[in-house]
Amino acid sequence: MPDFPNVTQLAVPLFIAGIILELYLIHFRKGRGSYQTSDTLTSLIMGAGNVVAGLTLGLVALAALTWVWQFRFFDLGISFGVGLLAFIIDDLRYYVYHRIAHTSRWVWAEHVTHHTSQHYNLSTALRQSWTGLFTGMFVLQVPLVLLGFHPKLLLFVFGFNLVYQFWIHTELIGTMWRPIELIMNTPSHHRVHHATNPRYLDSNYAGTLIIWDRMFGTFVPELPQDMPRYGVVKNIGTFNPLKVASHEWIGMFQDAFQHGLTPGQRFNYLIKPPGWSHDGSRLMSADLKAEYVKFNPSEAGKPGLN
Amino acid sequence: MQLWQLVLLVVLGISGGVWLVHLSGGSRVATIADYAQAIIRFQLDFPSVTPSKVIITKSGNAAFLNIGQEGVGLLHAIGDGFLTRILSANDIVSATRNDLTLTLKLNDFTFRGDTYTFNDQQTTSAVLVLLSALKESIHA
Repeated sequence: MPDFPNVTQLAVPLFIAGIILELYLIHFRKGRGSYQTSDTLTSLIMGAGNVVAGLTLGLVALAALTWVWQFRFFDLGISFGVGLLAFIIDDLRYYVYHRIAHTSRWVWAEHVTHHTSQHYNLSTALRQSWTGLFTGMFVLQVPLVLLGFHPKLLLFVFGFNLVYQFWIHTELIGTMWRPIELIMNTPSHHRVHHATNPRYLDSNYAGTLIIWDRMFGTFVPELPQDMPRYGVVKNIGTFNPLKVASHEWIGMFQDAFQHGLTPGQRFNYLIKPPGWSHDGSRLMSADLKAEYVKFNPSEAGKPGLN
Repeated sequence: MQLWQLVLLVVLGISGGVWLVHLSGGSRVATIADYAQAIIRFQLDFPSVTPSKVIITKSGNAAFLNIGQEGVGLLHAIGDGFLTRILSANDIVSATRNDLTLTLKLNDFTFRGDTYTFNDQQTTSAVLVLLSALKESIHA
């Protein structure tokens, strides 16, 4: 098995050049978008930290998946076709991971990092989690290994997925050619995913191919009359990278270990969707959507507000 | 790419990028122009809440909103955006007044509170009245 290059690390110069170009276009060509100094610094530090954390996760995941490799049903080998197939199937795996990340607090605790910026620009793409290892979600790659995709190949193709997702974090690009919007994840689709507007919550989980959202009913189009507002429903009040990386874990465990709960309630604080509470005092995405429809009844039944 | 090259690239990329953002005016802090703007921004996050009174700080970077029984609304600039909170008794650690300033400490891991300065004694007192209604240990 050949050693594949680390695609994400090789793309670092591209990331830097992209951010400088976007900043230039926003500032000098009046392009849509915005940057804020502290926000950008935090995003870039989170990105650098993610690379370091990723080295650890990569080793642990690779070791675990390599162990699983001995139990494979097939060995598909290495070729361009197998690589392409691995990329597509791994993109579906990413969709599943991403959907879980937004609907179970255990995984949201690490993924929320990526959503904490109130800006949507190329630096936001690099605001990544440091704690992905703790969620154990690399188990989603196990079926792919058992099907015969070598673990090293899977890590390699996932690098392309991450690099693809970089350029879609921008407000500079409106909507693209219709066939592209139909098949690929685009800036417009991903802006919706990052939005806190009730209609856009829990939608557009795609990595590279938006077809998964269209297939599984989670696709919501961007509407000019309801332009995305970015961040999280309860915006954070810090630019401290350590707090950005850990705040949801701390909040989750504080909730789970508060006095007077049953074991089931404690467990639910770990696995239920963000916003779940044992006494119903907080709002989940569905509640926020219902509240929005209550104030905007003509929007009922539209995408994202079904 | 060797490790030292990667580290150098990352360090230069972060410092250079952030410097350019600062030079392009990215260090501005959000301000609240008037009561209407405060209410509109607050209601984006809490559409079911209707504030009856808005008190904006001298700098315009924060506002306290009287929202009745539900608590006290807080709108606070974070960079060029805002965070919004509905404060209840459990959220407040302390509120200490010193002439025209109010130091508010909160039980919020990502936002521990801040010191707010108001235009006059009357306004400062009005904010303390709002907070004291939430928590007995706060004296107006």
